[in-house]
Order: sequence, then C-alpha cells, then structure tokens
Amino acid sequence: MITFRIKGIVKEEETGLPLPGLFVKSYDKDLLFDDLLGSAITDTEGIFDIICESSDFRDLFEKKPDIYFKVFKCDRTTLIHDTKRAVRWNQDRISEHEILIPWIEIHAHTETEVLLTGDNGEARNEFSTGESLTIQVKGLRPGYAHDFSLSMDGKALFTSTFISNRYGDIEPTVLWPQMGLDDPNSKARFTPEEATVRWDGASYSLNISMGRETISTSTFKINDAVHTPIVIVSEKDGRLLNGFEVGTHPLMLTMRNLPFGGDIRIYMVPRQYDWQVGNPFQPVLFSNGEPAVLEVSLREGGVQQTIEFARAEMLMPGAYDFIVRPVRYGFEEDELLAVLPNDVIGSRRVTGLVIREAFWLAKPVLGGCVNRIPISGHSISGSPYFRYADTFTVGEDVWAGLDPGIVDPNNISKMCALYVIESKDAAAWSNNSLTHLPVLGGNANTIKRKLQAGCMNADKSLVWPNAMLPGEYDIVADFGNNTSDASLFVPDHAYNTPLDIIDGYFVAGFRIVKDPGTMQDFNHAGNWNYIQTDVDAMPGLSGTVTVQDEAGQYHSSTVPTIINRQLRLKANVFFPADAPGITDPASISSNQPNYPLIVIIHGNGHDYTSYDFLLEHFAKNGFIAASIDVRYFNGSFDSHGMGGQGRAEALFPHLNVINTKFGSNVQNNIGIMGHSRGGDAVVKAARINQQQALGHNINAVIALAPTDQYGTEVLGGAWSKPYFVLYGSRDGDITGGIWVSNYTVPQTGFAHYDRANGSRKSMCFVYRATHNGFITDNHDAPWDGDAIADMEPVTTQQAFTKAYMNAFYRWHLKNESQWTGMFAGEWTPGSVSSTGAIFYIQYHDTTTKIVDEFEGAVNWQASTIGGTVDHAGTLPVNPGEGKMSAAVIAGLDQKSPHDTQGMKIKWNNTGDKLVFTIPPAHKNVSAYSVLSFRVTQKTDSADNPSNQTQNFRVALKDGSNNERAVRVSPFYVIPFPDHRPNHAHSKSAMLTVRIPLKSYRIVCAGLNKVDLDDIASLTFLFSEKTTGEIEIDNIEFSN
Amino acid sequence: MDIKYRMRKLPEYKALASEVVRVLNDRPHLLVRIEVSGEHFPDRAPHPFVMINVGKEEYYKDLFTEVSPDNRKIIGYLPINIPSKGVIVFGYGDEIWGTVPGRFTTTSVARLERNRLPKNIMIVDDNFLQLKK
Repeated sequence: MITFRIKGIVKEEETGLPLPGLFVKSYDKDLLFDDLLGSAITDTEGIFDIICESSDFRDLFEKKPDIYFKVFKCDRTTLIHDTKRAVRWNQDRISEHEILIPWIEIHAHTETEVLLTGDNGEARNEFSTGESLTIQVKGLRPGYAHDFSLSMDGKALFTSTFISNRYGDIEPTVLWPQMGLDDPNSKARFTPEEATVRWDGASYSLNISMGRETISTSTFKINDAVHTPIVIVSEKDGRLLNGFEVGTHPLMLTMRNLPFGGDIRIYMVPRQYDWQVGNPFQPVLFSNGEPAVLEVSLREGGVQQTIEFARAEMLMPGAYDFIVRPVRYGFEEDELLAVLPNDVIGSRRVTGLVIREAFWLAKPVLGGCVNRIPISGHSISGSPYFRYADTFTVGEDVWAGLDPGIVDPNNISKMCALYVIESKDAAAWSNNSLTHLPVLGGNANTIKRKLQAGCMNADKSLVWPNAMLPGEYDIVADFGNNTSDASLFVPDHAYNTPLDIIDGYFVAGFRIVKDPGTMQDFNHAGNWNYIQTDVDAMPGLSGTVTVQDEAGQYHSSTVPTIINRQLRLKANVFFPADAPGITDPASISSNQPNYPLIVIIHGNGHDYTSYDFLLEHFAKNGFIAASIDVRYFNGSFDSHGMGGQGRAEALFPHLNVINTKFGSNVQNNIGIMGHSRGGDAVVKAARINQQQALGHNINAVIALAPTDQYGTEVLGGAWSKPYFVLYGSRDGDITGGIWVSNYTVPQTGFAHYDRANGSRKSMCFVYRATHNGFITDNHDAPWDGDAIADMEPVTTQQAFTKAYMNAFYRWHLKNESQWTGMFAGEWTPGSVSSTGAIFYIQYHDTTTKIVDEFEGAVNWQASTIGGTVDHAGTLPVNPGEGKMSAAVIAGLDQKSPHDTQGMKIKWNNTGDKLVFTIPPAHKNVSAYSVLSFRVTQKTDSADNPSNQTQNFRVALKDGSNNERAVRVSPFYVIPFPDHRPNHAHSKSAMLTVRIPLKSYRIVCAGLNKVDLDDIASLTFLFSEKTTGEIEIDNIEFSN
Repeated sequence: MDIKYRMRKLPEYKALASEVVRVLNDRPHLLVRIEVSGEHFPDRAPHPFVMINVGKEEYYKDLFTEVSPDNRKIIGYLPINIPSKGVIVFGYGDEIWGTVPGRFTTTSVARLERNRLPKNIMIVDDNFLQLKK
C-alpha cells in the first residue's frame, strides 16, 4: 500500500503567528463526492501531519490526491476556514501546505474572557486596598498589543498595554500593584488605613481595547470588608515604602488584616514572581551573617501595626519578599522552610522591597549615566516563576521583569514603556532614539506598565511572543515624560540617561538563537553498532588489536611500565538519516556529501553504550558520532582498568573501521571527547596523532571531568587544538586530590585547561555537578561526602553536555562562529539557563595583547609587558605573585586547583587600588574588543564575606588622562566558592571576566571617551566592597 | 511484641596474601598479590592502590592494583620482598578507603616453590625495580 503524507502549518494571515489547537481535516477533491483523507490537531507551532493511503482517494482516473482543507475550532464542529477554492492538484507522496487564516475568521468564533483576581488568586469583583489587581484574559488576537484602561468613577487612572501570547491569551499579570497604597495620579503614598478611606466605595472600570475596537469592559469595587491581609514595607508611620538606597532607612513592616495575632515569625526571602503553598524558601542573611528572621508578638484583631524588622546597617542590596507565619509553641511543622497554607505573603506577585545600591556609585561606568540591569527572562511554571535569561530559542516567548537595583533619585514616574530594540554598536548609540521592533507593532505598541510606587518594580510580563527573528536585542524601560500622574504618561521613544534603564547597551541584552541543546538539522539518526566479529568480516581489518598501556599508576614511578593490552573493537555509531530505523551506514542522509566525525572515549568503569543519547543528538546535528569500548580483553572477557595511553591508542583502529565503513561519507575532520580517564586520553591521542604522523585531522578536543594522572600531558605546541573542559564542583571521583608523585597541583581538568596553549580554549565549571551526572547518574557524589539529593539533577547536567558539546563541535568542525559567545561566557543557551544551574566559564582567545600573565621570575612590581605595578601604598599588604596552588609546593592558595602562576590581592578600604602601567610600545589596543582577566575569590579568606559575590572596577586611562572605571558586576559575577562537605576539596576556581572595550568608548553622559590608541594605565579599583581577597591571572586585551 | 533489633553488618575487611606468577608483556613475573575483600569496590577514575603501612605516614607501595570484575575485591601486586610486618591499607588516588584490621606479617604470605617456577621468570623485588629505573 502506498502512503501519502500531508504536512502543514496553520497561521494567522496578518501576523504569520502559528495557530495551535485547531482541528484540520484534509480532503481529496472529486467530481462527485470528495474523499476525507485524514485529520489532525495543530500542535503548539501550528503544525499538523496527516498520513493517508492511496486507497483513501484512488479511483480509475486518479493516482495522486487533489488536496484541500477544512479548519475547525478545537470543538471539532465549528468551521472557521476552508481552502476549497484553492485546491492543490496532483500532490506527491509528501506534500507541504501553509494555511493562512484571516484574523476576522478566527475572531468571529472567539469569545473574550476576562478574569480579575486579587492576592489569593480567586476571581472576584471586590478587593481590599493593598491587594495587587491581576488580570487574566483569553480570546484576544494572538500577538497583538492591547490597551487596559482603568478608571475610577469615570476618571482615568492609567492605561497599561500588554501583548497577547500566541494563543491570544494574557497570562496572569499584575495590572495595578498594591491597589490604592499610592495614588496613580499624584506622588501621594498612604498607610493601609488611609488608603481604605481614600479608595473605598468608588466604582472602577476596566476597558480592554485593541486600536479603536473595544473588546471588553469589566467593573469592580474596592471594599474594606473584603479584609485581605496586607504586609508592606513602610515608613515608620505606616506609609508604603517599596524601595530605598542601602543604609538610608531601617526596615519597617506594616501589617493589617492579618487573620492571626500573637506570636509570629517573619522571614525575609529573595523576591519571587509568585508564591504558592509548598514553595521552598531560605531566609537571606543580614550584613552580620545572621539569617533575616524576626519573631514578634502581634495584637489580635487585624488592626494596622508597624514593627521594625531590621536596622538600616543590617540590610544588604537586593530584592526581597516577606513571609509572615503564625507560630505555635513546640509545633515542628512551623519550622518548615516552605510556604504553609496559613502563611501570609505580603507581595505574592509584586516585590516586597528593593534595597538599592547608591545610585551614582552603582553605575556600570563610574560617573557615567547609563543604568544597566537584567530585564529579559523566562516565565517558568514553578518556583521562582521567572528567571532572568539572555538567550532565547527561535520561537520562544521573551518575558521581562523589572527589579531595578539602581534608580535615578529624580525618577518619579508611575509608568514605564518597555521597548524591544535591535542591539546597537557604540557609534549607533550617538543617536538615542528607540525603535520598538516592527514585528511587535513599532513604537505605538510598546508594553506599558503601572509600576510599584518608589521602587519602579514591575511583575513579569510578556514582551515578545513567539520570537522568530534571530539576532541581538536590548530592552529599554522608558520613563517618558517622568510624570507622577500615570494617566498623563507619554513615552518619548528615546533612551534618556540617567532616567531610563536598559538591559543591553554595552553588550546585547538578549539573543534569539537556535539552541544547540535542542536543535537538529536532521529529523532522524541512523544507528550502526559493531563488535569485533563485524570488524573481522571487513576486508583488511582485524576485530582484535593490541595497544600499549601504562601498567599501574604513576605513584610508584615517574615512568610507568608499558604493557601490551588486547582490545576487541566495539562501538556504537549514530549518523544523520532521513527516515527512522536506518541501521546501514550506506543509507546515511544524502542531504550532504559527507559529515564530520566525533568519537567518544569513556572513563574507567563506564559503559560505552551510555553515551547513546549524546551520539543521537550529534547525529541529528549533522555528525557521524561514535562511542568506542576501551575495556581491555583479559583473555576471558573485557575488563575495566585501561590506563590513559591504552585509551588513546584505542582511538586509531576505530577510526580505520569507521572510515572503511562510511567511505567518502565521512570527513577527515574529527572531534574527540574523553570522559574521566578518557579526558586524559584525548590529549594523548592528539599528541600521538601528531608525533606518529597518523594523518587524522583532529580539530576539536573536549575533556569531560578529566583525570590528570598520566604524565602531565599538555594539549599544546605542535598538537595544539581548540579545547573545551567540562567539570563539576561536586565531582566525587576527580575531587581535587594529588596522588601521583611528580604532580604538584590538584589533578583535575583545571590543570589540563591551564597547561593547554596555542589554540582557543574554554572551561565550564558547574556548581553541584558530579563526575558521572553529565552522562548517567550522581552515584559518585557520596564518595566525597556529598548527598546525591543535593546534586544538580542528571537532566540538568545532560543539558550542559548536549548544548556545549554540540556547539563546540559545530563551531570547530563546521566553522559556525555564532557559538563563540557561549564559550566566552557571553551568553547561555536557553536549554541550560532554564535549569537555573550555576556555572562559570574560563576562556582564552589566541589573539591577545598580554598585560601581565605572572609567569617567569616572581616580581609583583613588574608586568609581563615591562610596565610597572604599584598600589601607591593603599593595599594592606603587597600583592603576592607566584604559583597559584600551594597544595604541595610554596604558592598562593592551598585551595587553588590551578597549574599556573598568578597574583593574590587583598584590600581593606574602598580607596585601595592596583595600577598596571602600559608601556608606550603597547599603548594601542584598538584592535581588541575586550579587556580580559581571570579571577576568583580566595577560599577561606576572612576578607571575603560569607556567601557574597565580590566586586570591583577596572579603569583604563589614556595619555590625555581620560579615564573610565567599569564595574565588573554588570557583566560577570565573581562568586563565593562552592563549599564542599569535604572542604579540603573546595576550590578557588577562576572564571574569565571579559569587559567589552566598547564600555570605555560608548556614549556615557558625563564622561569623556577613552582613546584606545593611547592607553597609559590599567587600574583595579577596589571601590565596591570594603574588604576582599582575590586571585587573578592573564590580564590582557583580547577578542 | 518486643522487637529484636540487630546491627547492620559493617564492612569487615579481610586480606589474603600469596605469591603469584603474572605474565606481563609476554614474560612471567613473580609478585606478591594482596587481595582485600569486604565491600563493593567501584571502578573509579583514580587508580586503586593497596599498600602496607610500615610507620607513621610511611607506606610500602604497590606496583599496580586492580579491581576484580565483580567489584568484590581490590587486588594489589607488590614486590616479593614486602616488609615483614605492617598494616594493609587500600583506596583510590590519594584517599585511603580502609584498613584491614590486625597486623600483617610476611608469614601469612603463601609462597610458591621456587624450583617449580619457569626458568625465565622475572623475580620482582627491590633489586629488580632498582635495575628498571
């Protein structure tokens, strides 16, 4: 029987947005009676797929179908569109169709549904003052901006604008935060009791419109009898105070309508975008390191009460919520750090409090006027319900959340407009006008929001549904005419400093890209597995080979005994295919004449078949990918225990097998990946290939949680290759010990990374990831004292494996340079960022101008390029220079895992600094795009406050004394080191900071540009934290 | 009804020592094999070891160590002139996983009859290792 496949997509005609959830019937047009060929429901991308057989339509005269469609609502009976007047005649066995439906035809069958909810999430038409009015709408035109105009007794309060998602819905979004605690039309702020007097009893009307068309009108009332519990941060007199600068106010909490009195406990927790019963939380820490928890006794009866939660000096910058819990003496349940049904959360969907940094001191460029904060993010279904992100996959929704940690003190606006603009280079920012993307309706259709009074915060809102245009973008929060009357707000289509806020400017705010963790160029992967008997059957090849290996470990001798080992050739191979179920390499997809090859070498105790999920991912991305068995044959069975050299030598006979089998379909363009002992082996393999002139073009090398125990191999010199290392902070197998006698630094991937030279290299260090979790399970965690339950889930770790390894091989084996930014730490693919895992990147480019790499003779006062290094007497002790690891020999830090020399710097005053002069011969750095260095907090240093990030500025001064000091934190986080239960294995692990040189040249009101042709000095200014101790390396200008 | 509680069986390490002939690179070598059992020994990335602790922080080291295919034994191979007494320790990389209770003495090593060994056997002892360096 011949089958026919009818594939298609249903879209809205005007916008091109896909239409999901529609019922599509496909027909064959006939002279008398049309034949039904099949039906399907459109998926989330509007796609349908119908399979039929020739008997469904075939008759005496007809061999191919003449296709038309009828499209119904999801009820399967309401017809909204048919294509009977546009029959596609004589369609082949596979046909593809696009059905465009005018909005009017969809809208005619759609009813708009509007829900208004308060803090408890129930739909109501009466609310208390202080609740946040939330809207939820269904049945709007998908992907269009809609106005939400709110009025009180006929007087306009404000008009917000939201964009509907691809389904025509507006998901629950706060329209009016903390209703009535501030006056939308003036600067007035109220106590909860004052607000009740001010707003009770009036009639409120919400009008929803799109352009001139009114879609819906709803009414509601504010009624104190509703008695919703209110918890707000306030002045001492109880008036709302949502935000203030650090150190300027005590933290006062005002509560009203609490359904309980007596003993209560209040937790100050990190801000979330929603709270549900069961959500876990952890109280934040006060500046003295104590948890921010207060127990007090309240009066009964729900009357308004104001208490002091903390003194001003106890508070740290950040965005917070407050959880109020009635506590009963001795009740174990009340100690649970998760939201309980009786808990009151003062700011369920809005921000409880923002403690801002000092406005001018917190600028990315000191003294300049640019306010840069993260805005773009993902809306997620579980806690914390929104997560900032800088990368979105093509077709994803882009959301925005506003929690500004810096706000112009003169900003009194009650509203802001959110623009999504194309990223601009430094020159283009000489014009500060904004152009909201045309695909989003242009400047007339920006998202407009009523803000929380005093803190300029806004709940998450959708800004770009179904983002389909790859590129780099910024989001600008425009406060327009900066009016305290929200009804008079007018955006000005310009980025004005210091008033407005931007996510972007120096580097792109976010990107729309394909996600290397989920993308595929081929729908199917073929699979050919071979064992030694299959190889024996191939002409000229033997299925059992001999390789040389190290017998035993290096600790008994610096030179290992070499022994021969038998190896039976077994491998799993995946390759691109055009149909499911392909097992013959001869049936590889003909879409390309040939494909690059990836080979995986597993570790000790691992199973070469465990990598199938990764091989399949590689194959669907256009690679032939194999995982080889490197157990040795002991005469009876295949045994674990192969050392590094044996694993390396095993690669080459397998390459012969694969080349023989795939012939001209496989390129001599090879990437290799080694796990654990295999990670040592891939470096050896690159060396052996070069030294023995084997002729294999190994063009990319990845080490996953590598050992470093077979003779300090170096990926460099004549066998230098692009290199990527992936390693977990809780690796229970390669923990950071030293057990080989001639080694002086911890034997981990850090040492491999440090020693590699001559090519681009990158390393990703993932907190709470393990030795095997990137592939199989976390069972190695307990070997070093960790609990498996505390580790990142395997799915999270596999997301790293798939995204970073695929991107690395696409970059180096297919010359796709668009992935470079992932490895430079500039952006993170959505499949990784959505996991919430914490990780840090090291990166080194090949084109650099070194300032100081601290190698050679130890002299902290002289830099590598011959400049002077001086702290002008400011630092409490001179910087230390030398070997970073002090584990065995004299060095800077017992906990450093690095195999390199560096510098240790300690400061105890915000006026401390360290100046590197740039000799005249090196003053021109205009050919470079970033200022780069590696840095870590020193583990166990009393100068680094517990569990806090570190921060400082890096200044460049030119020969005319123009100077800009750029803050590190807007670009990179310098984290507190991950503290392992076996603390001996905690690590001072460096990451690479890359400050765009654009920051020193871009328009920044109040500051001159720095002449990059004439740099005179580079200064580390320790102005952001009062104390600190860091280690740095590789200060250089780079690309 | 009273419940009779019982203690979970804790690892009880045992060691067996014997001389063995092991073919390495096609030549028979005479070695002492120390086989430790008592728990599950995983195949790990750092190499396993079996050593004899002969004093404070002083160890007589193995030549090489293997984990048995069923992961029930960790087997160290040492020169035949092992110290006359000490304590057997074992582990991976730089980490000692355990110690075999009791004092080990060479009298417990089951020796092979020399006159029955092949003529080309390599006697692995300290002299042999010195010559190899």
